[in-house]
Amino acid sequence: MIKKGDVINGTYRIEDQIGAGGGGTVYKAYHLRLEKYVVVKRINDAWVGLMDSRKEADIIKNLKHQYLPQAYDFLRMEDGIYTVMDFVPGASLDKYIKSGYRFTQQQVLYWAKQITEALIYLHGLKPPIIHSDIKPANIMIDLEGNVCLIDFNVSMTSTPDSSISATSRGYAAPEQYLNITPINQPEPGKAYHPRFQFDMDTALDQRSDIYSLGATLYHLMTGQRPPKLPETQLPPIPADLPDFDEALINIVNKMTHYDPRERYQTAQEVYDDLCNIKRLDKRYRSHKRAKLVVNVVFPIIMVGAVVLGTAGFMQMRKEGDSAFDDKIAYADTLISNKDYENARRTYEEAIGMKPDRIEAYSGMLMVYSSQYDYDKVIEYGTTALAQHNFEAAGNSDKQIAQFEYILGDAYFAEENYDKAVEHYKKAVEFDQSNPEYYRDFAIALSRSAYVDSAEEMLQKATAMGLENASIALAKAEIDFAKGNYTEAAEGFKKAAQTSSDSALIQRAYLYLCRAYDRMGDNDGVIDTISKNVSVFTNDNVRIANIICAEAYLKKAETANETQRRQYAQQSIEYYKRVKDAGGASEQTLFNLVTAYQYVDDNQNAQAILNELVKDYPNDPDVYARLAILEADKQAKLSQTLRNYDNFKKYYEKAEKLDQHNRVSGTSSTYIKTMEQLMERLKKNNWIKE
Amino acid sequence: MTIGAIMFYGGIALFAAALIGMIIANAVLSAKGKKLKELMKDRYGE
Repeated sequence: MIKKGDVINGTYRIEDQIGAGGGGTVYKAYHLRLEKYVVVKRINDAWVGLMDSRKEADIIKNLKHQYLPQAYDFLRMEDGIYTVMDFVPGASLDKYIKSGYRFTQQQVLYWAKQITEALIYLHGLKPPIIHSDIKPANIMIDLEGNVCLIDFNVSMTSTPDSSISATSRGYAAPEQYLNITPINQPEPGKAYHPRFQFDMDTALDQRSDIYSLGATLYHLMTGQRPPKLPETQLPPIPADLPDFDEALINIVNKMTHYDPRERYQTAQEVYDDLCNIKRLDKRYRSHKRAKLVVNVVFPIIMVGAVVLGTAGFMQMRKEGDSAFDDKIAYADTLISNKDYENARRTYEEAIGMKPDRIEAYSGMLMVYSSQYDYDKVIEYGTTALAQHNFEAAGNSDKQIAQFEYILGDAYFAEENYDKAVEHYKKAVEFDQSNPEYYRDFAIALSRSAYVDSAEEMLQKATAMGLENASIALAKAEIDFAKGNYTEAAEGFKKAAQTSSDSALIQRAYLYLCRAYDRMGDNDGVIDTISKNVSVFTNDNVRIANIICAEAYLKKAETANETQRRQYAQQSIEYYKRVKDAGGASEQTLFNLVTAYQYVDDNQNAQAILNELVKDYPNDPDVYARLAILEADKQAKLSQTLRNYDNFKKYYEKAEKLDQHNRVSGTSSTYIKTMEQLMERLKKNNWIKE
Repeated sequence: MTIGAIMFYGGIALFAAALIGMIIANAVLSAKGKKLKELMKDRYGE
């Protein structure tokens, strides 16, 4: 029996007994050499025979952890075995409990983490050390408020032969309560508190320490000592325990689960949950969940909105395309019905819908082209090309080619073959699959005297399957350009006779007349037009009438007096058709004036020239023609009645308007004829200088 | 109004609404988060 004042091993003077547990009795002692207080623990005699003292000594001396006392010595004395450790100034949790202290959650959590750290260290040793007697009395709180886990039993290493544990009822894990037997005897005059020896079928493991720590925390939190096993199982801490949050309660309940398999399996797991306890808090989790919902659901909705908007945009474009196409189709129908004004308006609406789509511009060109207003076609087409980059706007090559082709046709009709070549060339560049583009390109090239290039284009068109009539037409044009008018005429005839295309047939007959004209065969011209008058449609009727009228006029120029009047009268008939249809050019009207003069109808000739004065008030040719007509009229009068005042007046007006042309030497034949007349009249003294 | 226009403008409106909703919700959650952080610190320490 050790008492105060005893000196153990000549070094440790016993000061006081400060505790007793399943493992032994603990004393506060004074180290006589180091002059500091230490703790001396006398190992319970019941264990002594089971200990490997040398091994225990090595283990205990090597223990080093912030929350474990430092072991100094391991003594095998005659009266027992002693371990010497650091004395930790402060108080055990047990004393706090007994004083009625109410622990806060922060304190419990703080200490729980520190004890768990110590357990991680002990359990991680090789071999692992199981404390086996964690309880409030064995947890010291030092003066700085940190824990120190004391009174661990070195002999409880988790080796197969360590089958005995000393523990305290209530804090010991249920698996330790197998075949328990008391290890102390009642003492006379004292209340008997049995201490048990626990015989285990299997070795204790770290889960037992986890249970004991949980039971200790249970005590701190509830203020109630855990019921003594095995009679009563530890009930779970109710979730509504005041001052403690459910997260910590759940951790403690899991630590104290009756079934070791349902507990935390390692101290590290406990430590992790304690360190991340706020993540287990339902308020925290609820907040995290809300953030997740906000940052996932809303972006999903936004992505959905983008998808919806994009789909809507695509749909709108499709709908817009559809409406645009409908408008174009409707306008095309209006052109077919010759309702050009509404067609033009509809194309303009289509342009308003999609300003970069070329189809509507092509439609506009068709509107003007159908009205034979080629100047307008050229003006509109070139403006559109200058203002828009149709290629970059995504229009198809075929659509651009069609636009260029219509523009080329307009230039061709205006006999501006170089510009026609330019646009036909673009047409074939954009659409190399349309043989008609090559055909007309070849014809325009031949008209521009690029005969070799024209033949090359014709070969391409032929290779692409251009129909025979078109080949004949283009070939005839090339012959014409070469000056082979007879072959050209044969070719045009062949084209007209073999084609089923009305437009091509009309072109072939008109070109045939041109070949006859070049050969001086006016009868051929007249015969071709008169025999095929029903073939011509639209503007070609006007052209055919002009060609026929010119042929008759040319015949009149070389005929005798009787025939001249007859041919001139025929010519007048054809010219009047043109004039009455509103398609007479200035030159046509000049020719009509000439024809009227041939038949001595100066009144109608004068009327036409008066109309021309209104339409072309600044054209010197009009006044020159008036002067010529006036001279002709006076020449038919007797010399006494002749008066050349009007001639002089027209002459002076024409000369004044023709100043620019005279400087450049480009005065017309009408001016020159008028000037010759003036010379003659002056010479004959009809007009004085 | 065509279906395409309804989808397009609906998509824009939905996007704007979701964006505004997300901003407001995040602002509210951020304010709540600060309070919760203080509570967690008070309850569980550092």
